[in-house]
Amino acid sequence: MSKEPKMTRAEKAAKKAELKQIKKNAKMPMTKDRFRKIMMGSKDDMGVLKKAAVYIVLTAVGFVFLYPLLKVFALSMMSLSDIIDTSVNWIPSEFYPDNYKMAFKVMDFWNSLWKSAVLAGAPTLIQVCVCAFVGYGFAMFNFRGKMLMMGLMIFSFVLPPSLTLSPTYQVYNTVGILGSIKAFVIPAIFGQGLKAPLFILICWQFFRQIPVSLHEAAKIDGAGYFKQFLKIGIPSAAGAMLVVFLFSFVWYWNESYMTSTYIVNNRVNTTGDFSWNSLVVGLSNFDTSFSSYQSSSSAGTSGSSFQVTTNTAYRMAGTMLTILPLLIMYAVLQKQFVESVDRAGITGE
Amino acid sequence: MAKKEKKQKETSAVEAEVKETKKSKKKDASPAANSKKKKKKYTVEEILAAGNDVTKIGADGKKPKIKVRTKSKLKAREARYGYFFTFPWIIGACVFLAYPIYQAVRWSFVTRRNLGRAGIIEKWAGLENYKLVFTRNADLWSNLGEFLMKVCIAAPLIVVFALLMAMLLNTSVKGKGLYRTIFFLPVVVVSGPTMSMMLNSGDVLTAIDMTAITSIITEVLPLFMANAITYVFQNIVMFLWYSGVQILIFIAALQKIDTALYEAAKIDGGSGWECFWKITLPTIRPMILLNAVYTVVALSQDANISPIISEIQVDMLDGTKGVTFASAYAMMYTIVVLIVVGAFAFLLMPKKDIYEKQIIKNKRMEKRTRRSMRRTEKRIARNNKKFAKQAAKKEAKEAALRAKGKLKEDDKKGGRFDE
Repeated sequence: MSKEPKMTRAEKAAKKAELKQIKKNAKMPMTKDRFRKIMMGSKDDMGVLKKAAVYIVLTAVGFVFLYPLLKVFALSMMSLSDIIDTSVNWIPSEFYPDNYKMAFKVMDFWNSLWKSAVLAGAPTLIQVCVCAFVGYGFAMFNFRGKMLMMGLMIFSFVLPPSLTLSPTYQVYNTVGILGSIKAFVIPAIFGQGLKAPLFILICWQFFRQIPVSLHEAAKIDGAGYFKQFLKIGIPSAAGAMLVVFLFSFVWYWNESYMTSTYIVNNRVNTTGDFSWNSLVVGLSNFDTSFSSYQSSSSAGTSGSSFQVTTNTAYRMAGTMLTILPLLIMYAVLQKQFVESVDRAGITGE
Repeated sequence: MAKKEKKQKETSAVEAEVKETKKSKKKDASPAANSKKKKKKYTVEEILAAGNDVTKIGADGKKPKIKVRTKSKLKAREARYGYFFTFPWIIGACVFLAYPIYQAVRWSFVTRRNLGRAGIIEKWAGLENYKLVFTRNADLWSNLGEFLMKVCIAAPLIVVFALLMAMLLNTSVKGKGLYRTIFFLPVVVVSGPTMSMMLNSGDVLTAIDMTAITSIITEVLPLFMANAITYVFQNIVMFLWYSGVQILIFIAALQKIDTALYEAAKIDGGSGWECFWKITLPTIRPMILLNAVYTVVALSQDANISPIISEIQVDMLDGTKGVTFASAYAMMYTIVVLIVVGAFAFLLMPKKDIYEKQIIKNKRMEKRTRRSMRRTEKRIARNNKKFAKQAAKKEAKEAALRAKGKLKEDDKKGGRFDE
């Protein structure tokens, strides 16, 4: 017992000596080697220079990624004189919301926003359910022709859609789903929605990762296959279903050609003048609808021949309006978006 | 009958995998024996050994079958449920996928004439439509060349760039999440009309003023190279915008690499550069393939990259050219795309190492021996049947002859049957 304090004293002395040594080392003048080590880094640690380089590169690339959006935003805020004026490059001389007002009216914003939401939302919800269902079937069961079917699925993903465009149109016509939202919904029910192969593969990948013992336990407890799907499959593949939902929604929202050929341009079947005018389709027809709007409004108000032609600012305002809902959604859900892709969603393996 | 039964017992004792059909199946197919049969897997040697035995066994005139795959009730039910779960997709694939593909292929070989109320008359035209694609389409070659050039430049660029970005983001950088969010933004935002709006509005997608650089390049280099390089410079932002998904895929792949590998390499004195070439790249090679294929597919379906797509869409509604022409055109385009995808896949396919090759070889051997065994068995069974029939005929003849009373003479000839 009596020895211990002595020992500690000795230790303390040793520690003090150590500390002095360390301080000496710390005060050691900057040698070339030390400087190099700090700047260039060692094998375990990145040096200051390297880190700075990484940040610079990342920020530069990030800026390039954001550049078009920023540019679009800046242009959409400019008045006509600002656009013509070459000295105004980024910041408009004054706050000029008229472009947006105009684009609002031309694109019939609220109406087409609602239509877009329905057009993207309904098939997406169905697609999530169906892709999970089919993916579960492919992942959990072995049956004859499975490999062939999956091969066909992947093949259909590689196939350019323009090949089957007109036959598909014909099929839709004979089935009688052209010109209404059914043209999106019915194929989605049968697992042939927009980019469905990719989504089925994502679900398949997730379901395969579920440990077999879970299913065995459920089997022993007397659960049927469908119950297993509901109680084990779906909860454990919630991440995959989120990915499918988000991507499907975005891609349906952004799909313009299919929307315009299958739905918008075939209003014959629908009653009255109820049209599915989605935002993106409105954007692609921006110029024509702009001129028609101009002529109608000028004819209504006064007979003067004053007409504003479309300029870049209006178009950019329209683009901004089309993107805006997606941007808001992305801002809210970006974490889920990025992380779900990260978590082995699309990676396949 | 007694003889036959004896033989059957022998067979079941000697041969575990030989399954007698019909009668014998009922007799000795006890559940215990069955379950034993199921679990056993046979190596090449066993099968070969069994193959020698089969010749003896088939002598009873029955078709012996080798149990390669046994079907149990559970498996059958599972298969049924597999069909149940994939049922919607199967129907959809038939109606909305297989039929349109079939139709498109058929249309490309056919001429159609619309006769109003009488309907549409279709005539077999052979390769006529394809010839038309070549002759009528003035800018076919330039379009195809443009597409190929764009893909062959853009796809590697996008993949390499995505890999670089993923590597940078995989280091211990603060604010990873923010950068990732920014890099992924274009995937969410971009669509055909928005992209074309930006492309059409002049300077939105060209970040830098390139006129000086392009003029220098065009003077120094030959034309086609200059074209390619200026194309890259002018569309650099677009390339970056198309690489969002790829970056994320690479990040996910990089995070899954075992860090112990790098530690081991460090201990052995490997530099970062060596680690990249000898650890990172080989491990994520499948991902590179996946990304390359994904990129090529995405580019080939983008109307801003490939002028052919919009052309096909126009031709489809064109009165003079019509659907058949468009189908032939689309078929050609499809073949080109598939070739490009195949080329990228071939270039980037991970090479199998020696062991895997050996395993595959062995499996193939096993299959082959099994098949040849089955064949010999069948042949033996067939021959045995033939022999049995002949023997039966002879016996019948003998019986008839015996009945007639010529017993003594025939006894000497066919004596072996009486043993």
